[in-house]
Amino acid sequence: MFGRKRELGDFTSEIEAHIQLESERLQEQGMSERDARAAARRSFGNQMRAAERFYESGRRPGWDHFWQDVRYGARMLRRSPAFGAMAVLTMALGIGATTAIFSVVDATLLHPLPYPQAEQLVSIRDDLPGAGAHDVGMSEPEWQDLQRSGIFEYVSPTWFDENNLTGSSRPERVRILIVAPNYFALLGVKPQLGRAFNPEDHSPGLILEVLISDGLWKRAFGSDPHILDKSVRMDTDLYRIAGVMPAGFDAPGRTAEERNIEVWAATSFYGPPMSDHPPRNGRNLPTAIARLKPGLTMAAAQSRVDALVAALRREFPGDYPAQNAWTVRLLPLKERVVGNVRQSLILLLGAVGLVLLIGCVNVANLWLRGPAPEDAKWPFARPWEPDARG
Amino acid sequence: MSTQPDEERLELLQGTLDLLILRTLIFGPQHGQGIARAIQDTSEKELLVEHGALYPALQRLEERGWISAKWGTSSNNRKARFYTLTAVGRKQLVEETTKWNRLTKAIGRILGSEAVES
Repeated sequence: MFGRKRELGDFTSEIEAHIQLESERLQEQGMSERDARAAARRSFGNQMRAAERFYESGRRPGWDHFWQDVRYGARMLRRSPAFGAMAVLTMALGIGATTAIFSVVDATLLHPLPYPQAEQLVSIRDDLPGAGAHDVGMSEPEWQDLQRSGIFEYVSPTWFDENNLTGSSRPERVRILIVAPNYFALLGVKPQLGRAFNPEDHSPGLILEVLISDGLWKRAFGSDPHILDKSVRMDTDLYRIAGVMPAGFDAPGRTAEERNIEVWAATSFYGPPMSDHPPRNGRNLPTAIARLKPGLTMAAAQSRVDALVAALRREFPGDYPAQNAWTVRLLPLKERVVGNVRQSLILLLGAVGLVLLIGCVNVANLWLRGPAPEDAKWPFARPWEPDARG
Repeated sequence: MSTQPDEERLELLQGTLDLLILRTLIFGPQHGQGIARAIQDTSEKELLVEHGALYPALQRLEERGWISAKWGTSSNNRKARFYTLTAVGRKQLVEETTKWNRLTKAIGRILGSEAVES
């Protein structure tokens, strides 16, 4: 409130005065002094409660209690450093573990993937539940069907490989991802140097250009600014370096291996060295990602994909035997990337949360046992020696 | 103490204690015990005022500026804190009284016509 705060002492002396006046009045009515005083107190009700209500009316008790607790805590810790150290250590372990796991959860589950409009990115999964086969990959004709379906802006199969790279400072084994030429347009990422593949390129065979990662550029080419004039040989073929991806760009993937791609090569998945007319039932493209048309929701896209699949199964009954029950499922790319770790991460977070809780309980327990007041004894009195601390 | 047992007396409705305090102070400055006594006596001992609840209420009214307080000496020469109705408090009393009358009239109408007539 405003103005001078009334002292609690002033309030209690007012109550005293009240009881005095009341008991005198009662004595005038013929009560004994003792009875009158007792009666006056009785009719007053709970004095302590009145004083408390007065005290609390002008303050924020929460804040008051908080400072009281802090002062008390500090006093106890000073008095028994061993107990204090134990408590601080226990809490530090609990809080540290929780924070560490939370930072992982935050980075993997709570943040979107680091691409523009990442919510439109999906992973495409082909299943043959009838044959008990899941994630079976797709064929080139199916990819083209999806590409032309009008559901997606871009669809790109991805094909992980390892290759021998020569033409750099020294030969090395690199992780390579074979993608469609629209891959970088799909993700919405531009190289820091040079250019990405032409997303409209549909020429047969392998395109004789690659993009390399920032890491590989620095490690194998010493950050050569003229890298774009160079060619590298992968296994036996010569590829021109079309561009260098920015530092911090990772391919979407579940494992470090899938993410740390060093070379991207592009193809339209037909023509030499592949078949000129890849068969519809040759599921040789292991995985695919896609970007939904703007404004299309996952559910709407899935129902249109279902309709497309039904039409294709009618059109090519030989390639899609009914008993296989071929389906195509869209998953948010994020799901695919964190998929199998989501549950274990949440479990882990729960576990460390419990560890923190147990830590708190233990400290509270120690507290209840009481830090040895005079003799600064080790705070853990052995429970089987009940009178270890008297 | 009064002859009437406490259980038979009426408990005050929420918020009415303030009104009764203001009303009592219209006759001049009074200390807490005097206010409690006056409320009990004027209501012909029908109302039960817990004295302990009186003081927080007085404190509240003082903080709102409806009453002011000063230590003084009672008629029998005791030190006591005397409360006086302020101008704001007087205005408040009129308002609250009007409100109360409207309320009781309305409730009386619902409970039965004789309550209003009498």
